Order: sequence, then structure tokens, then C-alpha cells
Amino acid sequence: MTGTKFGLAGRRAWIWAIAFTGGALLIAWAEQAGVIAPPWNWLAIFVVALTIIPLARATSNRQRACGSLSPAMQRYNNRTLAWALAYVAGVAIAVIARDRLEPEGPLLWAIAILPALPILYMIWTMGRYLVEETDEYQKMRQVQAALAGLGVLLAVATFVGFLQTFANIPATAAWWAVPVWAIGMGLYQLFRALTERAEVER
Amino acid sequence: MKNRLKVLRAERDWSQQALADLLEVSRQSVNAIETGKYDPSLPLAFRIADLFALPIEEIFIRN
Repeated sequence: MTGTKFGLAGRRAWIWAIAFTGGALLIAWAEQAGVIAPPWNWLAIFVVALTIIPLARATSNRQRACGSLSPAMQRYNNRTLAWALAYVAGVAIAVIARDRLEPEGPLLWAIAILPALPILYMIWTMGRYLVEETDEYQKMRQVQAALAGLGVLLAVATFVGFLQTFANIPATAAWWAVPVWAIGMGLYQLFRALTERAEVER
Repeated sequence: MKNRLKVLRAERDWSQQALADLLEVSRQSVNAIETGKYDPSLPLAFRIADLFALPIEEIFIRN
């Protein structure tokens, strides 16, 4: 394995990851702050959604380059692409329906939980990967990343929770839990990738 | 735990990928075991020992 092969593929994946995460956080902030109006919020969601496809491809390429793309990981990547696209589509449909239909009652509830459904599939995807992965080292790495994400989520939730209780900062929507967990997981994987770059086979 | 995996692999002129294919694990796993970052489970250690036709204690060395 040469550094060139590893480096190029790796860097490309992280550029897309940063683009997707940054875009998603920006849209979430703009929505909450009310500084983005239709149709620009729909367009922004669509543009951010498109970055998921190159992100998924670059991630698979990087895993293939560093010898960690097992069949189970390939299925996990495919399922992740499916739930990520479904999640963005769910958010987009919920936002458009809220803006256009001004729903009430059961319809409002149905629209509100629409983006949450792909997250259930995401949780199943994580569990399924751990069942299907036969490579014990890869499995351990995924569990470590998930635990790191959980640690970040618990720390942020506790920190924000006490600020809300004692400093009266504005309430935060509970759906932030998954993005914060995923960011924590991503940061851990980035940290591992950077620390292991020098250790690839020469 | 130290091991002689890299030496044994070099003696057979196998790449990490070739060894990984024989063991049905990822190349990253072989790299992690060779560099001592990861100690394999007992079943995987037995598979490695079987592949090299050596007892486990001649491949993995107690610290």
C-alpha cells in the first residue's frame, strides 16, 4: 500500500463528509432561526442531499484502499446510503408539507415523524452490521466508533441540559441526538485514520 | 502481545493482503495484529497457527 493511494482516497471522503455535515448543520440552524424561506430551504436540502452520494462512494473507495472493505461493510455502506437519502427526503417532505399544507392533527403527527423512520432503519443497519461482520477487528473498530459517538452525545446532552436548567439557554430539539452521535463517531474515525496513516504497509 | 507474524509472512513472501485472503480477514486486521495494536481472538489465533503449521506459542509471544 502506498501513501499516495491511501491519502488521495481518504482526503476525498473527508471533504465530502465535512461538506455534508456542515451543510446539514447550516440548514438546521437556518430553519430554527427562521432565516431561510421556501423555496430556498428545499433547494438547500436537495443540494446537501446530493453530497451523500459522492460521500458514500469515496468512503467505500477509501475502505477498499486501506483493506477494510469487507462484504458486510459494503452492505452497511449501501444501507447507510439508503437511509441517509431517505432521511433527507423525509426532512424535505416534512418541511415542504409544513410550509404548503399547514397540517393539523394526525396528519401533522404523521408528517412530523416521517424523518424519524429512516433513523429506525439506521439503528437496525448498525445492529445488522455487527451480526454480519465476520472480521473481528473491523467489528471492534465499529463498536469503538459507536461508543465514542455515544460518549460525545452524552457529554453534549449533559452540558446543554444543565445550561438549559441553570442558564436558561433556549431548548434544543431532541432530534439533534443522532447528528451529534454521528459527528462524534465520525470524529473518532477521523482521529483513528489520521493516527494510522503512517502505519500502513510499506 | 508480541508476535512473529511479519517474519513468518516475509519468509513465505506473502503480502499482507495475501495473508488476509488466506485467513478470510481484512488486510487492516493483519496489519493491526502484526503491529501489536490488536490481539486476535483464540479462534483467529488458531487459524493463524494452522495456516503456518506452528503451535500458537511459536507465533505469539508472552510479554
